[in-house]
Amino acid sequence: MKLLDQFLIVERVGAQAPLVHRLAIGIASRIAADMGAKVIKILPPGGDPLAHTPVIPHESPETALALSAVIDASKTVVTLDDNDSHCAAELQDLLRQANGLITDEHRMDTPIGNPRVDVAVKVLPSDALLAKNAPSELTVLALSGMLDLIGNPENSPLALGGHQVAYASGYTAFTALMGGLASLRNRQLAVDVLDVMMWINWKGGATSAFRPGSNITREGSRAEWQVVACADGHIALVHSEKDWKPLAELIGHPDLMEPDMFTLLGREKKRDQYLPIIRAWAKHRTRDEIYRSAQAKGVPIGPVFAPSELLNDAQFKARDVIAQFEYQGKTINLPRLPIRWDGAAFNPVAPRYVTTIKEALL
Amino acid sequence: MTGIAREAIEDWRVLDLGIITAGAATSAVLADFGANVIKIESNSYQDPFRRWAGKWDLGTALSPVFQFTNRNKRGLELDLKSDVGRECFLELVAHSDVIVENFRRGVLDRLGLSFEVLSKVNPQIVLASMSSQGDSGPDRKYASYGSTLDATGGLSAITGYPGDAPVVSGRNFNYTDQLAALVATGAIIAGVMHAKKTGKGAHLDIAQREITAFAVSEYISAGALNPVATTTLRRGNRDAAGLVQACCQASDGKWLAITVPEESLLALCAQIDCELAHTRLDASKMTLIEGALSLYVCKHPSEKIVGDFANIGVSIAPALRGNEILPSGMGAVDRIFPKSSNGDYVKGSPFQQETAFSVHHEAPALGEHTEEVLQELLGRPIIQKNT
Repeated sequence: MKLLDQFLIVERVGAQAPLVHRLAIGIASRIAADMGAKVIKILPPGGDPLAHTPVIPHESPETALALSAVIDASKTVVTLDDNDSHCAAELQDLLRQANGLITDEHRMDTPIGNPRVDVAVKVLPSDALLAKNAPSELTVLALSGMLDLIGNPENSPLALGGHQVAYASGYTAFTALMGGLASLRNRQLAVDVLDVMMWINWKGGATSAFRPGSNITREGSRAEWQVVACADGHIALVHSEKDWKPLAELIGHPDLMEPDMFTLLGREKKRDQYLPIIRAWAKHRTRDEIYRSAQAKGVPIGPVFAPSELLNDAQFKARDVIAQFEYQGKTINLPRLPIRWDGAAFNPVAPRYVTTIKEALL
Repeated sequence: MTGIAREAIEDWRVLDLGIITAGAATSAVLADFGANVIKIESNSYQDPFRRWAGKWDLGTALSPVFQFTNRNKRGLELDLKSDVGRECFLELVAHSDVIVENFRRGVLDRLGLSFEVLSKVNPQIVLASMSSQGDSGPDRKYASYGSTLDATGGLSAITGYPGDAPVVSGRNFNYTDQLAALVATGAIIAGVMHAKKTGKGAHLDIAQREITAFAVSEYISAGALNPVATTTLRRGNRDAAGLVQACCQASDGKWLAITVPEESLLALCAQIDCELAHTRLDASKMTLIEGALSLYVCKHPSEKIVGDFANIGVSIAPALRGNEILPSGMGAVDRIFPKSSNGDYVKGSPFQQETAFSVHHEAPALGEHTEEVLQELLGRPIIQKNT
């Protein structure tokens, strides 16, 4: 599918950009590239820091290819020294042809290149405490309130795994780019990574706004939804009010059918009594047994899958979620975009590296 | 670019059948661009967010969570289960650009509103279907909330304290439900642009579990390159890219998120009195420094640590609790928690445009704009068979 093949998008990130901005910008333009836009990523001299960023530091250096393959897929990458007057002129010429620019240039009122560029999406540094030094994903999570929401109250606040700030901001920058392209005028839009994470954690602010003095924080073993160990791993014990009856029937223990177990407050008071019952029930069952039997009753329990398990997941195989391409001598497996277009999937391809803009435009 | 879209996004009409978070928030982001969003419910099928149990149940007519997610929409009451309601809906489809829905799979077909039916009425219509697992595959009818998707999409397995169990984002948060709207909106806009260019609409099948999996793409790729890596997936607050990083509690009880860029590491080690051997920073050295960091931070008040560490180039921030966000004075608060004309907080826009976000419609009461919308689109103020 080449939905966006009428668009030329330029990705340009400064050499000193923090990793979170570099990733967010890369993810936004990756999505556009998979959808068929011609995306040209401009690299400053010295190479791409992503090429040396492992997925699991110190543990698995051979995975270092994964991040750059995932971020640069479907793009054309060109290294350009815009301190060189010839290169700078080439870049200006490229921007004159481009429909969109995704960048980390900070000032909204300073368009890069020519004003004919239709859309500039700028991933911004966050304000407040993050303004002084480059933000990290952990500090953004901290200021958004999200860090405090995850984990156990007896332990430290806990970050979501991976690069969630970058992905959420990249998704947002992609949407901002599309919104800009759908306008009939030149646009300047901005995505602040702290805004995005605060938007995601809107319930954190909303709770205290509507109930002064009230708060939500990490609940650990006191939480309504838990991760429970089972025979071959873990399941996420997730349910709404209407799910309790079928869940209790599935487990078949009379204590779960007590009237006070059917309300949030009742369950909160009896967490220490009923969770051991569920844990004992899950202990001798596999993830698949629990998943299938719960879903058959409409209860939204799910198995905890390691990312690598998704490579062989039956649902993912049926939908052909995982794509492959050859990259630097290795086979890269990566998820396709999470969207099917009249049933068709988008197909990421290996990044193309060139040395001039002229080649990039071919 | 000029001429690609027949109309600007401000002229698009969106029929919003979305409920709770994923669908309703997607339509809300379309409204942020100026799209004309019409939220369609009926007396027997209301958005459950209108009355939501737990901390957000204030006993008011509209719960705060509904107000947050449905600002800048108009409300239309229409029973899609009735013949007359279904026929009226199809008339509205003829005058619209987008339908957003997050029903359980199969519901739209049972209502007689499959994409085939909709596209006969309007060949350019874009139907955005947001669901747990997508519109195909053996698990297509499976139910989920955001935390189910944390687990099945690969995120929980990489979230947790080292050596401890996986963690879900939980009922108060439901991270992946929030995430969906941020990317789905862009896909919908791409779809409408394409429809206006080609004259042909499309069915967008958007799977929230796949949105989660896409957000851990590099872990899936890494797992294929080296399956052994999965044994050490949960790394607490360690930096994914290998910098010294920790969340430490100061002497006043406040938790501080700390990330140390390579160029600040020597200065930090001098500050916390930790000997840094001039060798490669391996895992054991990392553990040593992070341990020393925790010990140092717990002996000093948070304000001093923040000031001292920021001065040596360390990225540092307090882990704010929910009730500390609004009074924090950060610019992001004004943008994400603006007030509507009645003085209530609502949810702002996740991106900034040339003009500041504003609320031109409070979240609608059920069917609040039924007459107005029908008159505007169909030229009559009542729901009736179009004879």
